[in-house]
Amino acid sequence: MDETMDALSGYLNEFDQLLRAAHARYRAYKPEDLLEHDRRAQAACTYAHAVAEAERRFLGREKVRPIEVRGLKLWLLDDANAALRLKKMDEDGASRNYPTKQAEDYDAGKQLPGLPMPPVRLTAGYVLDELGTGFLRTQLARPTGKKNIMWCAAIVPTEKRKSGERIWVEVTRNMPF
Amino acid sequence: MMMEKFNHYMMILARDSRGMTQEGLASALKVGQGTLSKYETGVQEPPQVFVEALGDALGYPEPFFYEAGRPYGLPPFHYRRRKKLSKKALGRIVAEINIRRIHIAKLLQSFERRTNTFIPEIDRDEYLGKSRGPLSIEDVARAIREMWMLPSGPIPNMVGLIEGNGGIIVPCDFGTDLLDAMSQRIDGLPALFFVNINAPADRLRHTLAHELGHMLLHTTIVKDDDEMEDEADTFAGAFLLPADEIRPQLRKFDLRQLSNMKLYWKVSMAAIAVRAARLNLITPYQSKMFFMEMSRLGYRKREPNEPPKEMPSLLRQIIAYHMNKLGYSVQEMAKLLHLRVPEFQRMYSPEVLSPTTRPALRLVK
Repeated sequence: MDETMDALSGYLNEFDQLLRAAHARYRAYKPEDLLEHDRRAQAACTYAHAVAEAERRFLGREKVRPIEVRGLKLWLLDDANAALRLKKMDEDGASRNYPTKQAEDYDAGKQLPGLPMPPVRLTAGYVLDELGTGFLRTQLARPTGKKNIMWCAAIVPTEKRKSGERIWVEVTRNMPF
Repeated sequence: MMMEKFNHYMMILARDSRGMTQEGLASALKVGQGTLSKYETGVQEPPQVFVEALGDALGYPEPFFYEAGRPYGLPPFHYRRRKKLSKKALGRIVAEINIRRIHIAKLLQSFERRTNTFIPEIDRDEYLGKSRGPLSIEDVARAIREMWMLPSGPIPNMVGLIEGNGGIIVPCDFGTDLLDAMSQRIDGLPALFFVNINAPADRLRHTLAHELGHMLLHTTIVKDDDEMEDEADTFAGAFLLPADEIRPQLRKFDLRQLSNMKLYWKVSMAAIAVRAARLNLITPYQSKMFFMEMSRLGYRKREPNEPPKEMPSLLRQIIAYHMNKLGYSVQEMAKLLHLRVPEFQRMYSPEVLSPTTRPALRLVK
């Protein structure tokens, strides 16, 4: 975990910023429109804004490659040897909805067409508060398939980070025996 | 030398406004409680030297005690409070509000208001012929929205609405969060709303709608206290959250939906839940579970996502009119209202009447 997160350290702030920006953009919709959205619509809109923001930031950048596997949008970060997708998640780093086949295969580390095998497959996601309307934090999780999570790290936003403090903290939940 | 007659009601008001007992004041003035009691009941006229000492002990200038008029108890006061508020604290607040009412009456002698609208007093008998059944509180809320030509949807600014329709909102610091507001309608004065300005913005809006309900429904007919409170609460819900509009929005009843509804209606999630229960849109079990969840999250005292605070401006305008247009100094204003200068500033300085959280302007080089 430490090795992967350290390799990604140059990107972590950006993941945090882009997911926050996507959430803020969604929350800036007219209140009467927000009222008509259920959780699924909210997640879909936020995801669309997050992808658009990621494209604005990463397209054309060296060592960052966007790929799409049967509709699953991924970012390959060559210098960290990691593949990354964006997703709403819970505090454990797991997503709650019914995953697509390609998402399941991605999480399980299976071979996907166009996706080279070695990269570590990660999910960058956001966690909402109890109301489902406030942004709690950004997390990076390492899924292992069947909704299992090997590890999960929370990104500490710049304004909350003390000088010299690490940009992420591990929040992996200890599994009961 | 005082020209007017000593007003023993003002003596009681002054003492109550300081939260002092008769015994405590008698001890401070080194007189017997019996003597004090006789002065307060008007049985005996106090000597001039006593009135001077009384003013010093209670912090009011002497002319205060020669002010004409009398205090009003309950009703015509209506108030929204929690049951824990002690009788003594309530008495102190009622006294202060009586004093403020006297101030407003004086200030309105020189300040002319230009408004064609007003807060009506609903006579239920008059309305009986207009609907098939007895007049419901929902009907009243709908009638007021129509009368004030309010479009459907949320009330954008409850404070502005009341002030724009002739009411005066007086921001107060009651020194407790157990009382939200008091309202009063006395002949010759507009409807007055004394509100605890420290309350959260969403609560303040609901409180004002609640007090508006009292002013509409309970000034010509006075009922049992619990019944009046229930009617005012129902009115507030119906006025801020019209049934036809919230019904489809409450097909889904969870924290997320209520949070979004709060953003739209600018009404607390708790008030929306109460309204949903009154309209039978949720079961008692759903209501119970909702409030348990709110308690667990610590939202019962202060909810997240508070809407922007609505600040009254009319009283500030009235004070500014006296000082800027009529040329009153702070000392003269204090003299007009029979207050000492520090107390005038505590009650009526611009910072108190319109506190702002905006940062101070700074020079950008």
